[in-house]
Amino acid sequence: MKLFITYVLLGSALHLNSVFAQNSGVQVENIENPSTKTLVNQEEYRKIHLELTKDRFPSARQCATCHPSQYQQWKMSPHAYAQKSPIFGAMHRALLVRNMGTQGDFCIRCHTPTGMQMGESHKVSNLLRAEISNEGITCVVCHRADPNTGTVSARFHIPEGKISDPINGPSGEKNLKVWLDKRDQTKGQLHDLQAASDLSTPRFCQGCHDVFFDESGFHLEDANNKYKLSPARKDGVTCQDCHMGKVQGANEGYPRGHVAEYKGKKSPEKTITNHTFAGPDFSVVDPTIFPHNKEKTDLNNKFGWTDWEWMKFDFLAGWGTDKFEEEEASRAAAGKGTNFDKPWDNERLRRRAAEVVQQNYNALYEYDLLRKEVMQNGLAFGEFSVDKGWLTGNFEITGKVHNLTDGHDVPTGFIAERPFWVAIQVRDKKGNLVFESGKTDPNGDYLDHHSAFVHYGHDKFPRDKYLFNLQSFFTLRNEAGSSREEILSINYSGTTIPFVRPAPFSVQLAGRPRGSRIHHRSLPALAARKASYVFDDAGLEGKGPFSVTAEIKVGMVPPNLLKEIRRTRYKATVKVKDKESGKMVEKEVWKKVAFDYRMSAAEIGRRLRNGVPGNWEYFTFPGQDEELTNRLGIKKRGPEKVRYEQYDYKKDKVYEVEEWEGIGGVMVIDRRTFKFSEDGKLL
Amino acid sequence: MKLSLGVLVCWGLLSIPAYAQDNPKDKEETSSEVKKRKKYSLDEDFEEPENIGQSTPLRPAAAVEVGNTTEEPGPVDKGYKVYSDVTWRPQFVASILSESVGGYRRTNRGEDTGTINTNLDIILKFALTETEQFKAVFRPLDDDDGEVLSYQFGRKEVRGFKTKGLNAQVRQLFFEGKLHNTMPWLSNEDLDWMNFGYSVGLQAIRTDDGIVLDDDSVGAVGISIDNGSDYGEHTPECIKEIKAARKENRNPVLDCEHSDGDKYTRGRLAAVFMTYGVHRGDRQRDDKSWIAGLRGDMDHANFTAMLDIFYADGSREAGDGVFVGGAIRPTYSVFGIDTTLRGAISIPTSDETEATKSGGIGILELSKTVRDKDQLYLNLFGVVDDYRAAGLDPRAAGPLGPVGILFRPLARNVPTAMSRDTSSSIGAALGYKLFGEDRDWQVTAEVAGKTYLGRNDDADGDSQDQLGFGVRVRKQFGQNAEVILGGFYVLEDGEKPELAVSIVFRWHLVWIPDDEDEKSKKGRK
Repeated sequence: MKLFITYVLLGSALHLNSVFAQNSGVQVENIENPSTKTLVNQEEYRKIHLELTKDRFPSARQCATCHPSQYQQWKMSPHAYAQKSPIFGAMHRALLVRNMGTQGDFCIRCHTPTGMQMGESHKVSNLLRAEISNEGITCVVCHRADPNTGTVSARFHIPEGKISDPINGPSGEKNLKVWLDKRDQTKGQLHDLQAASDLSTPRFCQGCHDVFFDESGFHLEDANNKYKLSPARKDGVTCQDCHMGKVQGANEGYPRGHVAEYKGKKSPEKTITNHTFAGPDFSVVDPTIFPHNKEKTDLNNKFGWTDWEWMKFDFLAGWGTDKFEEEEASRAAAGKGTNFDKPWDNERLRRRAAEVVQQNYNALYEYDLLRKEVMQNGLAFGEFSVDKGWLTGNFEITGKVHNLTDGHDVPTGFIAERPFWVAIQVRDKKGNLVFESGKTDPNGDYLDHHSAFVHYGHDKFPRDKYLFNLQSFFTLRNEAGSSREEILSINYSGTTIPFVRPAPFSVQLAGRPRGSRIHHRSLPALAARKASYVFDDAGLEGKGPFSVTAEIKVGMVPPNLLKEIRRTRYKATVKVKDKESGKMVEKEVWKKVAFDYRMSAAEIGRRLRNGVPGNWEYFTFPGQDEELTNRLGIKKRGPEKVRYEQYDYKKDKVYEVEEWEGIGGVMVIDRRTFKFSEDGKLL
Repeated sequence: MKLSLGVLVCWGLLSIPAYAQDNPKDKEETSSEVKKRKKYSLDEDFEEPENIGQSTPLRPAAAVEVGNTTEEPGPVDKGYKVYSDVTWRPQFVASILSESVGGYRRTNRGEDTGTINTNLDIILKFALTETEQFKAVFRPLDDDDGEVLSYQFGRKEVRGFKTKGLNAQVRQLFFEGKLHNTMPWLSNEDLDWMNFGYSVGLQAIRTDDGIVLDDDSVGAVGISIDNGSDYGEHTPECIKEIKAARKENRNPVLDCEHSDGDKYTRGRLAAVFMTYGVHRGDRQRDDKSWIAGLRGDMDHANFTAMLDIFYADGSREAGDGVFVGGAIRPTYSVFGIDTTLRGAISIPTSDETEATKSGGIGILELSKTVRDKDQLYLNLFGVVDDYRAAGLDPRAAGPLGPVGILFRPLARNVPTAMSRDTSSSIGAALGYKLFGEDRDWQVTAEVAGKTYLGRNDDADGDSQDQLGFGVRVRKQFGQNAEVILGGFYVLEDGEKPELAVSIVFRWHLVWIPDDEDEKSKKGRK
């Protein structure tokens, strides 16, 4: 009996322990009210915060009233996405952790100049930010910024004020007055226009696109610096000429159109600019969160919503689409209806939200085509050749990758995290793979030393020694031993407290901090670089001719960056409920730097590869703009299924999954196929 | 009874896996599957938005910050537009770093000494813009010769305080900026041609990791050019043809001139002239010396190369000479080994002196990342004849500094374990650097050897063969302090073993904010 009781007690204790182990997981309770120091819920916090930031800068939504086409272009642009990006936000916080917080708002100042100007926290979720700061590089950032700023990494002055306050434009008041004379005044929406000739110059772009940290001397981005010596500069071609014209990434003139329109009346036709600024970046957040959407903002304003509500909207299930709602009606009739969270228990609101999602899909797709255009104006394959060594019998395939721009290197900007690479496959006449380079691991990283699979020596993913990529690397000086390439730029070899403080030497002469630099590997303007692949012919006799598929692939950031961000931990003091007293007590725990919008690294990684997921059985795959389609020379098409590799860590096996293609993701900007014979001759 | 036993056995068996499964700690420590997943895959965990950024460190403000905002959220001043069309937004920052060392050393003559010393670095920055800045460095606890405030234990004759009170001597005072921002008439505006930077005043100059030049306080003027790239020369027709070839999936008919092969992607060049307070290769100040030269670096797709060329002209005691140094670091390396090869030569152009001798030095740095982020390294060096740097601060590690921790001082005014002498010798350092998972601690263990070839007439007077073992442990405390424990044991040919143990406390004098939300609320309008 004693034995029985002992076992029962022991068993109960173990059960209870396991239950407590679950319950004692850290639960962070709400947020501290900044003024009273008491805990408030997120709703209250948001109200307090939003009240403080209200109406200090006009929103792009307000500008859209008279400038709808500019808004349509801007809302899907990288400028509009700058602060929305969960990767940026997490990377910024990871750097803060790694340099003891000393970099402060350095990174985020460029991503939300208005938010920083208002003194918002530089590290909280976007859900706790004002609407205007979520707009990133919104209209007033460029159109009210103080000109003549030079290399300042966005640390420039933006005057606060209403939409009716003066706005900077390239041509001053002349056109505005002409137009105003011919029409009625609008209700407090009109603004004076002051000439800011800098808006049309590369120097204006330099304010943000030459990222120079004066404290340490780190030149993180130098697009403008590279431009200065470029052939484009010599020819008088500006950043704006290629990035705000008819064609993304090429100097083919500006379109003509109407700068403003209001209630059907349009301003006189003149040369206008495109505000899409397509680049390698694309959105990885849900289409309920980005692009910006006027319909969505109207709903938000009407019902007092923000992205908290939109995060609950299950667009992947097809909520609000005709098909879903019909199915839902049948389910509800059968007593098996979906249990919707508020406010989405209202079918009418669901349908309106679905319209927003569809509009956003359309915008994302249009942006993706423009992204392709700018990338295609940047890089292309040149000549391919094949040789067979007379002594070794080895095959050597050589292809050239050309930079087609005359304005700067490709990639440019944030070059240390830009995966631009060549993937090549050689198959025999039966279709068997005989050589491959540029393959990615299950995370989506190409197989260089930053791939987790290469780094930890996974036998199925050895380093790709023929990999051709254009990514630059942060190269950090070690206390002893050679420098090494790392994913994040903070050097902690030789100190455990890497502080960013004024360097006790001239950063202009040194050109960089003493412990870190970027090894530039981009392709200079109008230059070409060879990609060479050598493989032996052992066992290939009688298996030719061989077919080659070569692709130039362009990603946004490498997935290993996500992993490195998650490897950044810090001690956090959180409030948890004490088991015994039931009171809230402070407890110190280790936390990992996390991504916004409840996104995991794995989810973002999937989207980096395949784009924002779409459920094309419910939503319509976006149509293609006729002019753009012709310009890009691509065929019209519907959605396709894509297959990619996943890794089953339990079985240590790689397997393939199939899913609908998303919008965005890694893009092929050039594909070349050709055949060669067994004696190494192109066919 | 049997039933009871059956029940309790089942109960017990059921309980154990439930416990093992539900305890997250066990999950991490025992499950190889979880370990594999963590190792290779991106994790599926996420965080609630309200917790994002919670407790992420806030920016510790420097000791003094006045004027335009310094990396802090808040409004940026409107500033003053000046003659060069640039907007000045004045800002003053005083950054203070303190370093205290307690050390015990038994010399190779068997003498025991103990020292406690403190060093204070005050770095002042008065910025007009992000690029135009005055900087100054003071070390108020040092004496005029750069000796730090210290108390020495040991024999009666050496025991006691070494200080001359507070010292207002300026160690650095210089202005740096972009040419077009301050002298637009020289480089009309930043759109014009290259990107020039310059610096004038008393400043620190270091090139090639201190092998050729490393002076902490020297009157100098320098100008830099920062944007060289090897642009191609495709014609518009050529680009058109390449684009057409893409559409038609074929090789371009014509290929483009100057587009073959790899290109260098970034070039940088700085010209420097030093004339006041120059220390020469024997670490002695020579007021008649001046040094002029070029330093450049270049990124290629597959490697980075650096080259320094300096000419030093000095008094009869210091001599004249040419000094050339270079380094090359490939991007990728065999077997994943990071490699850097460094080399330098010194060539007297007048009579050889202690400061200017003919010789050469080569250092091969090899390291491999192991166990995730630890580092195993082997650095080899060889010196031919008597290599001398162009200029060397008395406290600088010197040309052998990059070899390893035993060749570099633990802190200012702490002697190195191994001899800094650069007469004909070879040597190596083999070490392992272990990092804590969260980078909050690190341990470096190193064994190093040095043997002289032929002559023994070095500058330091201690040119015996050496074998040393050293350890350095660093631990972070709070947001702004670290403690370093260091020790070494050195065997020297014909001498008694030398050993030392030191503890260093380094901290930045900063203001650590405790409630960012308050700031956010006020909006600091």
